Amino acid sequence: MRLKTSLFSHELAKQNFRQVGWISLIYMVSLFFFVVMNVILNIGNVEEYYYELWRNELFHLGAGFQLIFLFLIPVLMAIFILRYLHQKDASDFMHSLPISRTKLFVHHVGFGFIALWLPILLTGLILFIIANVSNVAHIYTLSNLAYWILMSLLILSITFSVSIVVGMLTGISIIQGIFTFIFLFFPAGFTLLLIFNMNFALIGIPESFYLGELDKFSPITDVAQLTVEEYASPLKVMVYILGTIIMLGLGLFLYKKRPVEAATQPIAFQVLKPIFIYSFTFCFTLIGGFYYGIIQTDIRWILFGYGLFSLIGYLISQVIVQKTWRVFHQWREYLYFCIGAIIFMVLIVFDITGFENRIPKLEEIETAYLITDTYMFNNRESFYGNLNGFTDPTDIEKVQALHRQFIDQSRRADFLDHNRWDITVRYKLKNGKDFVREYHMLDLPERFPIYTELINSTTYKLYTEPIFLIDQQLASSLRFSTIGSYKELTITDRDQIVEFIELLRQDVLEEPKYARETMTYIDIHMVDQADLGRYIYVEDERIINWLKQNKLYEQAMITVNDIDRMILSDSASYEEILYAQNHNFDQKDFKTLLVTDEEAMQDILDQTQMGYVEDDTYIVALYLKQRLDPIIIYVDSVLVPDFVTEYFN
Amino acid sequence: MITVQELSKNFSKKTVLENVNLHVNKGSIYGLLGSNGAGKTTLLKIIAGIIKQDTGSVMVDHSKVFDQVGIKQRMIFIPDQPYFFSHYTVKQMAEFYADLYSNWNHERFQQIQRILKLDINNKVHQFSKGMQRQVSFWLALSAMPEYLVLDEPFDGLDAVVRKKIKNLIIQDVAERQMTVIVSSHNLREVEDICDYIGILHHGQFLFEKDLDDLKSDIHKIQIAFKGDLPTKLIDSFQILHKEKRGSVYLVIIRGDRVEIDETIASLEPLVYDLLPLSLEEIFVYEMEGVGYAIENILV
Repeated sequence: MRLKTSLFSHELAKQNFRQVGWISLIYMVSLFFFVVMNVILNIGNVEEYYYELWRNELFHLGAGFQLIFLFLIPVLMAIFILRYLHQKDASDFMHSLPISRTKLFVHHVGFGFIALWLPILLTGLILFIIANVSNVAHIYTLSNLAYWILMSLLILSITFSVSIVVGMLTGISIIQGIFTFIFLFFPAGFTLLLIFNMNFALIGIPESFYLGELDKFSPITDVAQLTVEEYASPLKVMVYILGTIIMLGLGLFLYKKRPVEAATQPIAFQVLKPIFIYSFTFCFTLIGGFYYGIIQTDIRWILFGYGLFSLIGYLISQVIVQKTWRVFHQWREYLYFCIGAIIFMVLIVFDITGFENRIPKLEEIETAYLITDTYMFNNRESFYGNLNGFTDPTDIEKVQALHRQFIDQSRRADFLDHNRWDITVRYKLKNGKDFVREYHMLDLPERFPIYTELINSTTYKLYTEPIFLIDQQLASSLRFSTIGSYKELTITDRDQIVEFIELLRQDVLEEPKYARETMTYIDIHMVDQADLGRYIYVEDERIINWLKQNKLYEQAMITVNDIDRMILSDSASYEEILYAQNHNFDQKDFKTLLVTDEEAMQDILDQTQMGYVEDDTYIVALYLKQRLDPIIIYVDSVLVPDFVTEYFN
Repeated sequence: MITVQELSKNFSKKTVLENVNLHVNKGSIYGLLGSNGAGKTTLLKIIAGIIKQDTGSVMVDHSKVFDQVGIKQRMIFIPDQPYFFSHYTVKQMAEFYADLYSNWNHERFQQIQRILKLDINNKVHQFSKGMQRQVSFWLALSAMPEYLVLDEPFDGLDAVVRKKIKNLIIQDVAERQMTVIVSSHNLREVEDICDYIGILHHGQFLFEKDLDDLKSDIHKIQIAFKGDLPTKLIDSFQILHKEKRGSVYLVIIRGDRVEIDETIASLEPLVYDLLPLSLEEIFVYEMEGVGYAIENILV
């Protein structure tokens, strides 16, 4: 008698192959068409791809289908590989055989992994061979290819293993499919719903601070970033791998506990039924609040949304659990849910933890920040490391005072107002923790003078403007370009660059809040740091003088010498001006002023700006020498020279 | 040897088996009877290690069965609807069984093929229901199990197929002491092969009996006395049933045959006949004794 103790059974593998081999084959064929064929067709097509070198082209072959398949194929695979668990006769048969559950699990799941990975690895091999025999550098490099293989495998694996766990929790294949996607999306979706809904009641929730990272909570939302950016942090790779391993462990654990008779039952474990009903109803309730919060922005509608959606969610969950439409006599759990939900809401509305009124004490605070754009703030923090906020006790007290005003003057309804300003107050505490609150205020600058004072302070600019955060020694070049690339100038002299950046910093510090943009944009190219760029402002006296001193002004800026003529109007739009120009100013609908005198043009040019400010603005069509199309700039009516005002009145 | 002790199983909130005890000796054929929904299939699936009981124990040769590969190697469960992988031929199914059951006997497989005369290259799903049932026995018996658990194996089969399958089973029991549990809702289907019978009703055993004991234990007698039945007879033996036709009593009586003969002889009856009793009749009267009408319990 042979002893059968090995974990491998030839016949089981054969059965698996007959069961799911076709999925693998379909995936292989589609990858061939999505990826390999597209690569082959574009081998000679260098120019078209030249401008898209910045992103990983491999993931974008196949017009998005490749990304959809990254999620669809593993779920299909999991459904079919666990199909025997969801059919009564197959389930009885498989579990009557002399195979332990561990072995069944290892066989099925292991086969699923091989069947998922093989198409990727084979495609990778083909792409590797193509890269070696012909020039495809404009589509992918070998490191692109390695990244493509790695990320594809990771996403397939985590999706497959989540679907295996879901398959263990249910006895119906279609539920396995649907709930896999719900589970994958759950961490991001639930966080969003919870935080959004809590905002209706609790003032100060640092929503942007949490939600900024939200897309990383789910592979489905993360995939956009993973496939566009040519980078996944080692931490993220570890999370995907660990997540897969944990899911597989959980899957095996559940399999050993799973009753075989759960086949065709919507929920395999008895204990999960109430948990499912309550959490499903809760999520639907939150969706109701979210939906009405966005479309109605009225607290009464939101309450209505809670009621309606909790009812819908409850009935759906009952329909799923009972596997019947006749659930309208089951109200006991809904009653419990409503009681629980009301208690929960009351606890939040009355803020029993004192969340709203808490402000850290001065002696606890190390640094305080006022943040108007959390996304950019977080970006700067991850680019440049720790940012220097307000550390001076007088400044911190100002932040605290402002914080107190926010607490006192915030209204719950402000969150629902589309005209709100979002403002985050963040303290870094001496115990190493972060204390963050976010407020949504109307007319922020007008109502809070301390706010205006703080954001115009040097400290604020030092942690907000990237120019102060870069290492000037790492700047490799300065590039000046005027609008329409009429003039371009690049400086690569290291000393000049450093000198320029230091002057620019002084200008930025003294810049008023509403500065006027000139027509010149500077790009500072960095080595090993993110490049940065900004317009030169009329108020940037130091750098403008520096340009003049170094005889670079004419090369970098548009001066009156470049201008052929100007056409001003107080009422016409850009299109109207163009039309008028094409028809030799025959229009009577509006008045235009043609200026060709150099001195007059200089007077106007001194007062113009790129950005459109107020309604009371003159539009200036600027015709550069040897250019057909005008540049459109603006002059504030307050600043416009007298002869213009006289002409139009 | 299969020993089931204090076994209970609930599905959701419904009790399917309640404190079930069962004992099956090696080399015997145990008939598990009960109407639809009595819990037969659940009990068999628990014995076969497919589903797990809530409380109680199932031991086969002193080993648990659930998730135990060793004992499952020696046991095969055939459900009421045999299952085969879709599109598998008999040959492919046989290869699958051969890979999983270490006692697989290819000669036996070929031997049974000669009896059943089915083509091994046909897809099992293309066979008729009766043929599929034969295939399931073919595969099971080729794996040389020591324990065979059969759920309604004869349901809906014609007499010829039924006979064939019974012969196959009896042959293995006789030749190599195979132990069989077979469930049925129809006593007549299994009475000719079983040595033990147990009746399951609403998840509980009404009774379990050795058929030989049963047959030697219960007797149908026709008897007449001058006057009524003597009280001695009524007191000495358990009367399961009695009816009077004229002066002749028809009595179903439980007790040792010799003892009954002697007692009655001593009472000097006018008429005394001991009549043959079919198994079905025995059951009818046994069940009456415990307060059930058999039509409610068996078909």
